[in-house]
Amino acid sequence: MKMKKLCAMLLASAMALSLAACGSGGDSGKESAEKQESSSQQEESKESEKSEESSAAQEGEDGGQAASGNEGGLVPMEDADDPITYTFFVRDPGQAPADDNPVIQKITELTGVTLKFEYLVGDLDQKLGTMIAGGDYPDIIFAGDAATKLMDAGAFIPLEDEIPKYPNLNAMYGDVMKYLTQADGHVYNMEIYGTFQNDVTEVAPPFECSIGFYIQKAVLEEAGYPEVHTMDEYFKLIEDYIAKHPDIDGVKTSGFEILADGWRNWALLNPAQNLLGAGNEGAVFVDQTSFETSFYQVSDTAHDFYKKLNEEYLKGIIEAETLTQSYDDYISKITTGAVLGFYDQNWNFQSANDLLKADGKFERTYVCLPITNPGVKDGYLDKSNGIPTATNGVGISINCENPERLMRFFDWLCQREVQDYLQWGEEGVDWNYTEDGGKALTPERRAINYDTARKRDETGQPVWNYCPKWQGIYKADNMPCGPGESPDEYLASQSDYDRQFLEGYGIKYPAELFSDPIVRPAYYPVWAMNLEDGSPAAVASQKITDVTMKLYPRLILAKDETEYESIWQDFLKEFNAIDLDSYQQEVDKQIAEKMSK
Amino acid sequence: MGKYQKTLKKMAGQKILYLMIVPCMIYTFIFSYYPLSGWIMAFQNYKPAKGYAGSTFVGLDQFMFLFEDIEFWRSVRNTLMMSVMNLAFSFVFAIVFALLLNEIKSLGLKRITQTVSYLPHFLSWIIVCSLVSNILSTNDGMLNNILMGLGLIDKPVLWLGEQKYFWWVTTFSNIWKETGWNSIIYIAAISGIDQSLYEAAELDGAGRFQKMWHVTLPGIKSTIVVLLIMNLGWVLNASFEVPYILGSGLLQDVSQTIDIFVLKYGMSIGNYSLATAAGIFKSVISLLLVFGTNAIANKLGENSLM
Amino acid sequence: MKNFWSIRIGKHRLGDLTFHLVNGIVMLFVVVVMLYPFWNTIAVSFNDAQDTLRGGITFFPRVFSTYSYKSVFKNKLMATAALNSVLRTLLSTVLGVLVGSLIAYVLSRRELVGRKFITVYFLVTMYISAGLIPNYFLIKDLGMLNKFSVYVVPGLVSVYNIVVIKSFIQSLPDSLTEAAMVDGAGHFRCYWQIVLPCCKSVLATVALWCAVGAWNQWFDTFLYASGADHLTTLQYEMMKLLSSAMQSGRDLSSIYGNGQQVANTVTPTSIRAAVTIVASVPILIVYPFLQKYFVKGVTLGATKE
Repeated sequence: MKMKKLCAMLLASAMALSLAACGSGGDSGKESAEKQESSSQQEESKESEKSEESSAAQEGEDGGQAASGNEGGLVPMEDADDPITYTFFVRDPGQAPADDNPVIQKITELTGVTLKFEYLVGDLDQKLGTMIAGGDYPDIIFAGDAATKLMDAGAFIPLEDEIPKYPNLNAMYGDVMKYLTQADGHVYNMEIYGTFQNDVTEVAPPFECSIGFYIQKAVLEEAGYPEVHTMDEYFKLIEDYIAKHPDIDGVKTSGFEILADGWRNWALLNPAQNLLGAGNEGAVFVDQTSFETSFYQVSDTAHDFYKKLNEEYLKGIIEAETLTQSYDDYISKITTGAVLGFYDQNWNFQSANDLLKADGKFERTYVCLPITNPGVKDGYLDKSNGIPTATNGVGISINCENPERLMRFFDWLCQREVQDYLQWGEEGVDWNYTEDGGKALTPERRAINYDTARKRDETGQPVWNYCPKWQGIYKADNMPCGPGESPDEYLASQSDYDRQFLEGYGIKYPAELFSDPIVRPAYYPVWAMNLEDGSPAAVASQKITDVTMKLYPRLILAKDETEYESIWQDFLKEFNAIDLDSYQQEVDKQIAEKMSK
Repeated sequence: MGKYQKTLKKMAGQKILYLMIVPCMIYTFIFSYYPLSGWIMAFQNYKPAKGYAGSTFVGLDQFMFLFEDIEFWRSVRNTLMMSVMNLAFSFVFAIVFALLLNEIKSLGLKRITQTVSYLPHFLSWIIVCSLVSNILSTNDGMLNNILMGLGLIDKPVLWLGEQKYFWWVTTFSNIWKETGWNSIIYIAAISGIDQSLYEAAELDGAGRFQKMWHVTLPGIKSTIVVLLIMNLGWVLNASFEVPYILGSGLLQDVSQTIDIFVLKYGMSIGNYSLATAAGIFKSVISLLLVFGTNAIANKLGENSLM
Repeated sequence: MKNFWSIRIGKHRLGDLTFHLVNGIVMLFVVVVMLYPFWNTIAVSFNDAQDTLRGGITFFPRVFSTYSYKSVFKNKLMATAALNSVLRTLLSTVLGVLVGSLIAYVLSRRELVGRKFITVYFLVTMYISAGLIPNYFLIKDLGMLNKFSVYVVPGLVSVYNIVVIKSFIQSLPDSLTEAAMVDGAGHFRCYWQIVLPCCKSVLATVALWCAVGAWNQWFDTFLYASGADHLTTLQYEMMKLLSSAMQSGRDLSSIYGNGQQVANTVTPTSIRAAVTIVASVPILIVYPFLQKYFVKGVTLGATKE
């Protein structure tokens, strides 16, 4: 009781406190989905004739080092002797790297530039709200989709005349300037994720599908590596396996888990859109040819999907508690190895997966399956269109005292040599060429990369991650920009069991179980769209989440078919009572805008 | 006129008191009243980028948004119910605990019990809630095991899946975490009771329970009343964390509180104005409650806030 | 019935014995129930982070590890943070108690002209709040951004504490102060020499509230002093650790691979446990220290002379 009043900022602070404590801000769902996005944003480059070298030669007079100018070693910037520090706000939580990080020390030595990161603690909206209200901006800001607020406030300096002066930055952004340009005609942000519309890089192939229906590999192995495409086939496998193995390693087998804890709600809300053949789109289904939008939440597919879950609940394959359990409970359940299936995104249950691997239970790890409605082509895999969001990038604030040098620094970072140094490290120490001529990490370096603290304190990742950077595959020599995009690295890091599993299906990567990645249209995806703060569309979008979160669990736990149908009617009534039009119109408008660019 | 002068004269005689209090009043004005000019944003569609001056006025739209939404009223009801249950039970538990603790003869034992009892206060709700959900689990949870062992239920109850249990879950979670902490003030108040009163009671032949009833309780009554009135004012602010952490879609109808509602439709979609409007609504209700109960307490001849 | 409870066993009444037995059992139960969460948190904090994900840690660590603590103490700002936390706690407590008791004393003077107005003036502030942004503007206008003063000044006057102290003062016999005033003592002496010494137990409580409140505060660092490393506080550093531990779970680069090399990971659950212990143990020490003011019953008779 007493604590409440001790904090003078009543409501707001109380919220931030508990939010931070449970790590789920209102929009952190979005943020994490975005993280997800960044990995899958693997894009195809649109062709354009100029090579990076020639553009550097043409426009690079005042741009410091051109990408081609040096062989092997890293060339210092001319004012490396003149130390300068830039403050850098990042919208993600994180920890500053150790002072003795050798890579960062070297970068500072070569450039004179020190980046002082401030990572987010607490709630992003509150932080930005006060930052904007007070005009107290750090030098560099990465705010993600909240950047629009900063743009409205005039926090950033325009970059459209600056970027072309720097050869590497120009090579990266020159072709997408029109997408980076805001309604007021200015460019404020340099995209840091998935910029593939350039002459230097192209998208890397996906190795695994990151979102969808997962199943334990042992289930597939026992069934003889069958092709699985529908809900019925999927649950049939699970039922058969449970019948044979009522418990696994002494733990009661659980057929299917549905995590619905706060913002981690996609397992409950999203599957129907995938069944219809969409990717990880958002709150509406978008027809990929006519771009007509509709609400899949109330579709027949949704009706049948939750009906199916209800049947499985009544059969005992799904337990009621799964709908009330916390994220921690969910993870601990998966680590037992006794959970056969769930719908999720890979990073969300990764810790459980790692633990199963650490225990050597590789057959209890999971693989994603292309489940859809019968006869529908699956759309789980994206091949990103390479079009920047224009907000997912770094901006330079009006308080920055030496933006010219900063731009030169960013440009310097984007040299191939520097990028290789930051991402891969040194040849022979951190990585080696494989027999196939690709690149793979040394086991020592791989261990470092798996260890968050060591990666932060011993590698160039902290600098590389939040600055303009190359991603994907370099067109010039077909080399991956980083270990995460290297097929050789992927294969080198697989266990024997996984190799055998892939052989069982006769595929090279798990992603080959799916249809080819789809190149998405310019608008994609809907979830990334910015809804104006407090607008009717934003309210409706929240209501959609609320109503579905509330009623889907009841459908799943219905006692029988009659009750199911009557809850479904209640659901339709509540759902249709939402101001759906506002939301839909806004989405339609934004799709049309993006598609016309 | 005469009365006026008399008052002035009296005030002049109290100038030391004013010297003590006026700086504090100025301070309070600066830190509590002056920023209230920010309430203007409740009548705007406030955007930090535009400031108060540049944001558009929308009249009572923000309030209407709240008042027209059935979900808002439902969250008002939930907040009230959880807060009142919480307030009532936590008061009773804290007072009874303080009374019982006071009866322990051994000083060492008393201190240990007291210290241990306030430990849970220092744990975050997320830790306590995860323990609560373990205890309530249908999957080998302690409560279900005990009840089944006693034969009171024949299959595990999904405590966190049924609406009718939820308010009790929040209430008991609160008791678990805060009883020790809340009892501190009563322990302090009890130690402030004039020992001679006990001696007198003993001479009158009062037993243990009579002393508790006729000496200890009246001795801390003013503290109880004052705390009760003050805390009543916060009934609309309370209960954010537990419902947020333990709530789920199944429980939304009973677990959504005002703060959660405002978080969803205000802060998380950048609508500061809505949060401010809800804050004003809560302030008004709080002040009505506090001054209302205070007046009642006064009528009953109880010690009150003023 | 009364006679039954009055039966004596040795020199003790049966009723007393029964009461103490029952009370002892109740207290034992309370101790076990209240100790468990903290004990469990300690067990989790010393358990291997990855292993903790399996759940089921109750009384003792399953796979002992001090890595969570190591990652907490590795932080180079820890010393600064601890110093700032201690300083702000000390200052806030001392000033909070002094200012609070002073206002409470004034408000308890029944003869004070305008007492009702002044009381209401303070009371109202408990239930109103301007909100995040107006408060930020205020702090900025007062020039307190990134200054140590922001930790002490804004929370100085706590009306809740004032009311509690005031009600305690009012329960003191009027004769106490009247006598002093007749002796020619001014209000200040009366406050300092008569009233304050009588209020030890309630002041100890308020001191505890102030100390715990100041110690646990991280939000002001987040909003008003996050740009200044030298002003960081323990709780803020703990929040940083915790939120970055949550973030690292979403770190994509380690998703692929056979995971066997994974060692020394931090997880939110483990870091939270370690952070809770590190951040709460120092403040827990305050209470036993203050307890002596609670158990010593104030005998007002002595001061009445």
